[in-house]
Amino acid sequence: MDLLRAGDTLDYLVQLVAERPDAVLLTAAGNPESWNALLGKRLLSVDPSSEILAALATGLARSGREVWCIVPAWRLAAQAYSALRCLSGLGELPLRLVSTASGLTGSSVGAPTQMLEDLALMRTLPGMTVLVPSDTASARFLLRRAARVSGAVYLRLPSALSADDLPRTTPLDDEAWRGMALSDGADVTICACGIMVREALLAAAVLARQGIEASVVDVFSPTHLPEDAVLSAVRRTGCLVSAEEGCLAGGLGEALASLLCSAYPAPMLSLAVGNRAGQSGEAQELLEYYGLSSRDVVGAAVQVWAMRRR
Amino acid sequence: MDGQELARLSRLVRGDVVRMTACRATPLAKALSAVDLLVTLYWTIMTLDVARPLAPLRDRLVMADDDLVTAYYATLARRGFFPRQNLWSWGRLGSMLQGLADDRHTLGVDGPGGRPELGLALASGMAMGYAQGSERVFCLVGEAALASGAFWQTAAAIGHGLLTAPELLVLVHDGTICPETRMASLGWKTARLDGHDFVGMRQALARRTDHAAWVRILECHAGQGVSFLQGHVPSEIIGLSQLDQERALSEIDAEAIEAEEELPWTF
Repeated sequence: MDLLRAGDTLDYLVQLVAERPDAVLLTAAGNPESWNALLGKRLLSVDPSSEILAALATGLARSGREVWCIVPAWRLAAQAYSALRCLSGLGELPLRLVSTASGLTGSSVGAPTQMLEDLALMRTLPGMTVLVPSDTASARFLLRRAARVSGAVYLRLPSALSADDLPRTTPLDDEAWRGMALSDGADVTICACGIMVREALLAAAVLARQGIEASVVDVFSPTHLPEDAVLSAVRRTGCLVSAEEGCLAGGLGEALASLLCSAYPAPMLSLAVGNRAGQSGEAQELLEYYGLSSRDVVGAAVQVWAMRRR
Repeated sequence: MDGQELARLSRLVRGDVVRMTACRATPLAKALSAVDLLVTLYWTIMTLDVARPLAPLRDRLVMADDDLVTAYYATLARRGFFPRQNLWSWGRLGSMLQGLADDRHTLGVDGPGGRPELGLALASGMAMGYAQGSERVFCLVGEAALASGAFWQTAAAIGHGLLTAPELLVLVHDGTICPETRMASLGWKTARLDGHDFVGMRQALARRTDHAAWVRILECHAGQGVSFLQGHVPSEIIGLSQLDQERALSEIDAEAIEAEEELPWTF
């Protein structure tokens, strides 16, 4: 299901792999025929456990091949984690791990397939670069960027990317691969990643009607934070809200809190799934139930805005 | 290189294994059992150049049995990948020889340890990557891997032609395990060899298997070369006293062991 929803981006990824002669794509079984036609023997569709897939990938990478894997997040981050931490010298191996169906909205069938901890797990693997696109344009940009990273990359593909790209004032170029500001309000900073960027923009519009100008930062990489964009926004606004579709522990919010503590202490609130597991439900219902809708971002922004130093 | 010379080298490597595990608890009997195979591989079968340990066209060995790490390191040192002095600091803080094999730290090591059951999948990935080249990829597994589901899942995928086959070597001890039937049912060709017969191993392993799924079962004796270690359960953790170490070294054949200068240990 997730492949269908993220289909265009995955097709783009297959094109990207096809352009690179040393690249190999590993997936679970059941790929579209067009992928087989495009990649031939460079597409390996096996459906053993994800641990075995990860071991195969690290073996291939050790032989000098550039390896791309497309696996649902709950299998890649949860099942293959142990193999990845043991078998890969992550700082050096050209592994590109693309997870689909990630986060709370990745699956409607409940907690076992809603991978909330993937950012925390992958972020803490030494040498891993974690990337989280927020729309189709950034997904394509970050896939191309991932191809040029010398070590391992974990790219968390949102399960649903809408056709409309986010409004960006700066181009998606090499200087922006860590993230970028989408607006530059002076009252509150909202840093978000993945599908939460759209909620942050919706919240910014509501806040603007209340006279609070928000600065929204689209964070592409929790491991390589766009420090300049974040700190310049926080210096201007004096407070920050983080929003992510994953667990609180080890996620984007903690990365930002660590940055603020060391560089520019300021009031901060994190919106994420707290100490709870996921459950069945439609995407928008889940976001609202777990306090991750644009309305919750507005509430947190007003709260933190009131806490800021005057 | 004839069988006698290989036997002499094996005794030297066994001596180093005993020295490097002195006063430390390790599965020593099992490590000693694999030395003859490793010496055969590294001196007569594998294409490698110790002066260029990272040469791209070398053969690879994925060591998928963590219990054999001491024998592995001692073989690599004696082969010339790194000075033997490094053996004495095995597993200590800052050592180039990590407690488990780690290709990020040690020249000559082709794959990481820590997950024996995934060694076959790792080697299969490597074999796939080198499928068009002349490089051979060996994978050495022990009884621990045979007890895991991941190993058999991988073996089934290889046997059914879904994955590329590395040259699989399975070390078994004193006839305790017979994986032939199950491997054959998965589409593997099997052969059983004496893991201490240098000539037989050399003949059997000399030819590349052309990516057919071949498994060589190597029958070994735990504690080979040291009488009082024979008969031990292979994976039994043994710590030799100073006295036992001296006895073991004298049994391994003092004459074959060249006059060893007192080598200081180093990182």
